[in-house]
Amino acid sequence: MSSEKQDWLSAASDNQGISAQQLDSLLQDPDLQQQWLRYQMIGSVIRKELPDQIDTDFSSRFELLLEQEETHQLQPEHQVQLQPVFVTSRWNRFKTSANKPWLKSVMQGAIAASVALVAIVGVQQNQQSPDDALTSPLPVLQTRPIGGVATPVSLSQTTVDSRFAAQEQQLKLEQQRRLQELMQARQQQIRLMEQTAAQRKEAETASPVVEQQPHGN
Amino acid sequence: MPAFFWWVCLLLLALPAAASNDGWLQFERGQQAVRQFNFDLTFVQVRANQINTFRWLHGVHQTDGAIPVKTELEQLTPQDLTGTDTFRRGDRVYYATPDRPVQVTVNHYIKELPAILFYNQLDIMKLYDAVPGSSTSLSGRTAQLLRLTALAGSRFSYWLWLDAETGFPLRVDTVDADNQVLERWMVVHLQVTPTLSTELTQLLTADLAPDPVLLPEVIKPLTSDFSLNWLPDGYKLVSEQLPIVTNNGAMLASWLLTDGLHQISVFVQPSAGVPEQAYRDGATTILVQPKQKVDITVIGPLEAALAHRLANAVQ
Repeated sequence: MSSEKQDWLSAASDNQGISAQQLDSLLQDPDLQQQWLRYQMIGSVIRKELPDQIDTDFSSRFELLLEQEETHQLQPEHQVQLQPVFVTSRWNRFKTSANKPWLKSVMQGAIAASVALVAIVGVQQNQQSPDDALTSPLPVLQTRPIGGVATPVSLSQTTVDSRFAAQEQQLKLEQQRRLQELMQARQQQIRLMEQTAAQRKEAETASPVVEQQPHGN
Repeated sequence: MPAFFWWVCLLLLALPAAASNDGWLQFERGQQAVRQFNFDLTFVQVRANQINTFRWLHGVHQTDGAIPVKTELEQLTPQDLTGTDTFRRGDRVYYATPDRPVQVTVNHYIKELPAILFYNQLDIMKLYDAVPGSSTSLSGRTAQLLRLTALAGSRFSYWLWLDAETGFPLRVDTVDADNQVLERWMVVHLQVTPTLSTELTQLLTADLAPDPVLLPEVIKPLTSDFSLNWLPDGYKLVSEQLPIVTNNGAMLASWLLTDGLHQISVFVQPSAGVPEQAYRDGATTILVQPKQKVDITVIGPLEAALAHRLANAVQ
């Protein structure tokens, strides 16, 4: 194990490459560092780079120097206090008080109210649009009368459409009245169907002298 | 005894169509329910542009004695508009309209109620095919669907929903050939009671108008210039016809056609100068067709195309 370590350490001291992992282990392991120091020393000796006097205690003396160094205490910077600004105008006063809670809530309320107002106005405008459709110049094709023909037709039901000329409307009304009457006549026909059939049968079976009865309304 | 007779007739007629026998039995049950029960109900009549609500009371009174005599009592009252109150006692029907004398007619059922519930079943079987459908929930009850499909295309079909428990009709839809609902008759409240309601007990002894007035003898207009040369399938001309009195425009000719269940009216009047018009009132088509110097009006439960054909048949 140690030979492995020494291999790459000696290679490194010969200016060979070193991986990040190997560098980490070198930085953490004091044995390795010691080894590293020795290898460098050996290398220097071989290359005859050593000075005449070798100062092997340099690092320990440097440590000593660091300890003797004066320590400087860092003081936190003096914080700037925000002072209330002297109010000169009403607008400024308003601006400064805009952050106060009561005004905030009032403003929120005002915004909500204006949104609601816009919504109401919008809805009202939407509701108005069908009325606009009624007064538009394009006639709407009506396939059936508004009130239907089967129910009794009153005057008010047909006057909704002001587009028609009075004469046309009169004609329409006349027509509806006529249809109404025919519907009633038909109802009467159906109601009396059984009776007329029975009466006819009776008349046929009875003696040929049929008494003429006055017809009451 | 009549029930036995019914059964025999029913079986004889329904033998070739044994499959639909079940449907007709259900139908018979529904028809009997509206004749035999004492009930108090409210129904709505839904059409394209109107909804009408009526209260309908029905009861059967039976006299004590050796030979019990049954009398049917009925009352039909509009609930959401002032209209005609209708009463029936036996075969007399009384129409009480405000500001008008009471009209008395002879009828075995109130004509304003769906005729399909009352008309002779054997005759209905000639016009319709009965097919039972699925059951569904209506007004909190289980209802069985029964489709009466018209055998001829000239007629609208009926879809009936009958109460599974009592057989009582809860809903009647009139549908066209495309199964579009034209008119709906629907019970919204139903109460079946063992005894006659107080209203009907009063009706039993109420002093109502005397017998119906005799109708005038029908004199066929011999000088009529018009004739009808085509009739829809299954319809025939009703020979007993009354002259129709109208305030607006004279009546040049009129016909009443019937297949028993439905009626179609054709009127010929002097021209009023209106263009051709067609309306639909529920299942009833109203067609006004100008022709030369007359207006032909066809009113009845039929498709607009058939109404046209009928109007064109007036010569």
